Amino acid sequence: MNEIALLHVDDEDDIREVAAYALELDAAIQLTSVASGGAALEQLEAGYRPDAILLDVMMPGLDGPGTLERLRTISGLESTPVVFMTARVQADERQRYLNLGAVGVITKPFDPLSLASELRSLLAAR
Amino acid sequence: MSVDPLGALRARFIERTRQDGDALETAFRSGDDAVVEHLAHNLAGAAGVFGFGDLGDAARAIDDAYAAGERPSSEAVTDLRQRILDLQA
Repeated sequence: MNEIALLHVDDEDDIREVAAYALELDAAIQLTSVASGGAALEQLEAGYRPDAILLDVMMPGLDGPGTLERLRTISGLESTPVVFMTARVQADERQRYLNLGAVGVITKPFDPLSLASELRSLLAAR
Repeated sequence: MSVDPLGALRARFIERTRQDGDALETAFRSGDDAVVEHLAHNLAGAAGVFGFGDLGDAARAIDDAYAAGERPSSEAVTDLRQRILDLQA
């Protein structure tokens, strides 16, 4: 299975912890977790180049769409696949996130046992 | 004896949620809808992950109200608050 360096961005401690457990079930995922869009941009502006980014939509301050817009201006991240994660599942909102350039949307609550495979499927389908 | 790999995470979720429940009630009483919405939204997304689907549904009803531009009813907030108090691992 292909190795993936994955950046996960979510302000909620419980979600970061369970996502870390879930994603590390896939030994080929090398995970970095941060708690805000600002922290994500700090890592990226310092040179971290993940293969993919899993990005929460609703976060205080800089939200997911705002983070995506900012990271696209960083050299080398113009086409890094981004998957949004959200608890709001209305179809029009899902399409909005795809229109913003995400390759997919994972809804919360997610199944910890299938999160890694769901993410891989979205990345493989683009 | 089977080991629940999420057991420790679930216990932390319950502890944090009980604290958030206090904050949610205080925020609703003081009219701080931004806090209520944020807490309900987070709970809507997390509760089901740890097996508390009904709690997540109650939180989602409040989140949906805000998404529709409405204020949730006090009954909905009271219901959510009680479900949080009833949480057990």
